Amino acid sequence: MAIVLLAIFTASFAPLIAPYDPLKANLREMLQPPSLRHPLGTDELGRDILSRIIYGSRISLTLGVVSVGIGLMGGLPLGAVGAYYGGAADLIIMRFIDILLAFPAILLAIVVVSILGPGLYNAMIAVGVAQLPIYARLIRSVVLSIKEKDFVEAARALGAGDSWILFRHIVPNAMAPIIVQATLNIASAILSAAALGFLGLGAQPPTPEWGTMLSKGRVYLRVAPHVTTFPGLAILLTVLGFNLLGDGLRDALDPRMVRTRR
Amino acid sequence: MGRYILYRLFLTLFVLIGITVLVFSMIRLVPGDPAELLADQWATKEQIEFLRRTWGLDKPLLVQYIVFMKNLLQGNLGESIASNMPVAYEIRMRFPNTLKLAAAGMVIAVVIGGLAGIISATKPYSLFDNLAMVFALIGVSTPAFWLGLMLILLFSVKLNWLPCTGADTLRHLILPSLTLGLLAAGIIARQTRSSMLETLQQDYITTARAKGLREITVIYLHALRNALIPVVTIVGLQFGRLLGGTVLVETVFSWPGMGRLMVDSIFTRDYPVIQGAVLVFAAAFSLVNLGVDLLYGFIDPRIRYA
Amino acid sequence: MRKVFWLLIGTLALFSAALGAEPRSGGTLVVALGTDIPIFDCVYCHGIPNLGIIHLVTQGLTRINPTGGEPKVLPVLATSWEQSPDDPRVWIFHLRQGVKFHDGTPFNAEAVKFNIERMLDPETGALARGAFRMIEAVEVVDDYTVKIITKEPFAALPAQLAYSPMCINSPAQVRKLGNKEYHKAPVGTGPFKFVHHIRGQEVRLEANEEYWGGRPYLDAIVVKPIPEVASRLMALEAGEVHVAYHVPPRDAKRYMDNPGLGIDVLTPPQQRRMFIGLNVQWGPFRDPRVRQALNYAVDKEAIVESIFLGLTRPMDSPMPPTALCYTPAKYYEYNPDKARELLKEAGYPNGFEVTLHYGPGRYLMDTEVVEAVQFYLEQVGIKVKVVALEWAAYGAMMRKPLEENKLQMFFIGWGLPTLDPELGIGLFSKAAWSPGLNCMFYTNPEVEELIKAQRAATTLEERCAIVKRIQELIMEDAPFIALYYEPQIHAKRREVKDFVISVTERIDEVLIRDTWIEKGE
Repeated sequence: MAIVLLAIFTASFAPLIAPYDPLKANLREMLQPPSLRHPLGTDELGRDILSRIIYGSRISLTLGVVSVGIGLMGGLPLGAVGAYYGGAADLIIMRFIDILLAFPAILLAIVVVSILGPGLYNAMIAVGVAQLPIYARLIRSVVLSIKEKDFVEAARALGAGDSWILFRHIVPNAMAPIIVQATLNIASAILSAAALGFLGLGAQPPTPEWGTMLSKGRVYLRVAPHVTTFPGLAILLTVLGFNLLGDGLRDALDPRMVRTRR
Repeated sequence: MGRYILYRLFLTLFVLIGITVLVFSMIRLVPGDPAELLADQWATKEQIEFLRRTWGLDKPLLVQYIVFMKNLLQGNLGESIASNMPVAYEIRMRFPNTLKLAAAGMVIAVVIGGLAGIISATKPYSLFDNLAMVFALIGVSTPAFWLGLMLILLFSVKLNWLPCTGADTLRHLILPSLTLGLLAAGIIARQTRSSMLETLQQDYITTARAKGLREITVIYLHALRNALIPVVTIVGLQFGRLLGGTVLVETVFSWPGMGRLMVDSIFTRDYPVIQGAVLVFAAAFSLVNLGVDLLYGFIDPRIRYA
Repeated sequence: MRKVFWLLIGTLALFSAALGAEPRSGGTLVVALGTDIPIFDCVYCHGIPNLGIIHLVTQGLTRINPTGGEPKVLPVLATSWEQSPDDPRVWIFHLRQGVKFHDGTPFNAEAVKFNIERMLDPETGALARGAFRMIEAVEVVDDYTVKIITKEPFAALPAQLAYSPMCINSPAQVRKLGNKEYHKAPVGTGPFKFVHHIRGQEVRLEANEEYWGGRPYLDAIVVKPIPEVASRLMALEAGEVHVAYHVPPRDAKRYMDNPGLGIDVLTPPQQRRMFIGLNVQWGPFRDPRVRQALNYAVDKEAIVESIFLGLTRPMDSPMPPTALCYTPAKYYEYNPDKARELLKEAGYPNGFEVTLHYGPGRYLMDTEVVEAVQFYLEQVGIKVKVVALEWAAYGAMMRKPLEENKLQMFFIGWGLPTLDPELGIGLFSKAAWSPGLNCMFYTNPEVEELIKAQRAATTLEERCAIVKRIQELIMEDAPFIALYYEPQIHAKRREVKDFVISVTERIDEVLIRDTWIEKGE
């Protein structure tokens, strides 16, 4: 929780915290190891890595949250509705999801980036759409098993409407795995951006996006390992934060969760 | 059951047709075509148009699609623009490599991740749990190419134990499958743990415990079975994805699998190969999914097939 | 005194033994390329390093001098050539005698005619057909003499025939397997014979015992595609491969600084010009003063020194230093004040906004260079928006004709595989406008005239005098920001001896015979 707050704080006040301009190149100070002047060293163009990571927190957090948001907004309703109603709706929705799933994510990313033009926002769309089926299928499988449960039968017996049952009773009960998945996927979205960067399709220079910094720095793995290590650590810590947050949220959201621990 | 499988296969056919339409139109919508790409510095407009004619790309889209479907019905996926070889041959050369890698990776992931998840869930907030979850987190937040490069650095360059390129022997399989497995293990461990934890809170577990059943029976016979559904979904999804090849791991280890074939073909706009590879991937993926759905019923008898 | 003498002799003897180790036969050379060889047939393959491997089996008529020096064109299967004194369109090539293809059929004038005609035949669908469109006819004079007639006088023909897609294949084998299938069992005259080609995995070649230049020392060559540069280098360091193509400058320096690693850095001369093309038909770039200002604004020396660690030099001509008739025409030194002044004169005291396109991953350190240029232009008030595109999509943008072309600035590298001005400056003419590669849409009437004139020149002096003028005019017009010549950096393990990568990025198809591997490591 504290880590997420720290990341959000860093992102909000980046200009105040960062010691240098994250875009300021200095070819005379390339790939310097960490020092007092540059606590995390400099990158391949002599830019201060600490400042780039601080500014990058804005970009990477946005990227993670927005693409997971896109995936959730698309995937949740599709999966839940399909599973609950079953029949033709389920059939059509799941075929659509199958097509999307069976379509290689990398091809999807290239298509999105080539048609819409490259850039951070389109990378978010590409990553988000690629994640959509994950949520749809996950929630479908959970709803399938929940909708047979007693409390759903009870609600139905009490005369509750379908949408009431679905969104009041079933979906909240299905949230736990979804939240776990979503928090993890914020991380994997950031990593997908790194993969796009690996293939040269990620954020545009000189944007200090963490994933792209990480993948670009691999070229210097042997001569200046700090160039990839620090963005990697930033991602790791943020991911850790989101996961702990996810766990906390799960406890708070799940009405049946008995708080016996600790 | 048999009827259900037939029915699902029938649906898969529709998905595959949908895929052909989608791939066919999408790759041609994307800017750049092989003629523009492969033409050299001397190329003129005439040469580029000449190459397009050579590959039949000058015809209207619909005509091209009909030709493609007609060939497909005769079991012919066309010929690669880059290699002149039948697309079916190109895929036959790559798919076994991908299958090998994906299977080995998944076995590692399920064994490590599954066990870690179960043990963590039974002893939540213990030292083991905390350690395992930290490793799981590192697993999910490490890019594949980074882990792969690190493993090469350690085992190939420093220790000189294992080869880092190629796919000739079993020894070549170790590093790439370990890379895949370790990363997927993180996801599986977390999912197993969280759904196990949830299952263990359920009433029937308490009942089972109250009945005086041994803890180990409770966990493995009652809880695990019910906790498996989301886990199987994740494993199935992961495995299905891996069948499409794992571009990053294949690139880092120069592994001649479907992922490289697909990416190389996308980058050179080798349309017939992209179409064929996506289609084969989609078919394999759909079959895995069918398997996963059948497993649901096996695990949780309350799910019925309509 | 005597003692000292003997000591001296002894030391000398040791020294010469160490230096002059005798070549030994045997061993398999493993080469790692960054690219995958798509198909083992010159007419369908693309990528110069890929074609270089194919040339070890199916050689060409001529080749470019691997050192980039004079003379530019050296013999392979043609031993000498001359332009007919009566008709400049007619060339006579004398062929190497007593050469046999790997299938035992003789190499002769008939084979040359067959292969050139195969290249030109539309039925073949050769990728580089356009590069040989100047050839009108090929005539067999006798077994070892062939006459090639061009449509117009074409001084660059011997260099053109050294262009990688031109290979001499066994006509018998091509006829036997057909055009499409020939790549499965190619047959040539080279020092190595084809064993197999598993796409994405490896190419295997074995020594040709009956090679016309004598059996090579190596028993076999294996070529592996290792696209990821970090993996390629680690495979080299682990000893899995002997040669790695395309090494980043920082790692080259690491090898040079640590001789204990046992890795030698190869730096063949450069032939690729790296620059930022400026669309001279777009907005501010219509004014040559703006284009010159941009050239003054970028610190090329800093880029060369810090990004390329001094392994190359800034660009001072539209042609590379290894090209025939190259002249250091004009160098734009780093002078941001002069740049601002020129911008002010041209009516842009506050600069302007512009978009720069490029396709990352194609050239050595490309993103670093683009970001550096972006930074330098920012310093003189020009806001550059960088757009990275996947290579094929970028290529499609370049191929668009003027009316539809949306490029303003673009980062590109032009190779000069023939080292000849024909292509070296030919791309700066209207004839090469998109869909050709001139998407700067540059043209200058004087340059156009001179390009025609050099083609018809009959002596080298005459030709070079004209070409010198062209280089000066183009540098003055500055349709680009002249950056640097792309350094070629490769690496090999030290036990590999006498191994040469040519100026054209190919393993030299003749010198490979002398390559050998020192055993006992």
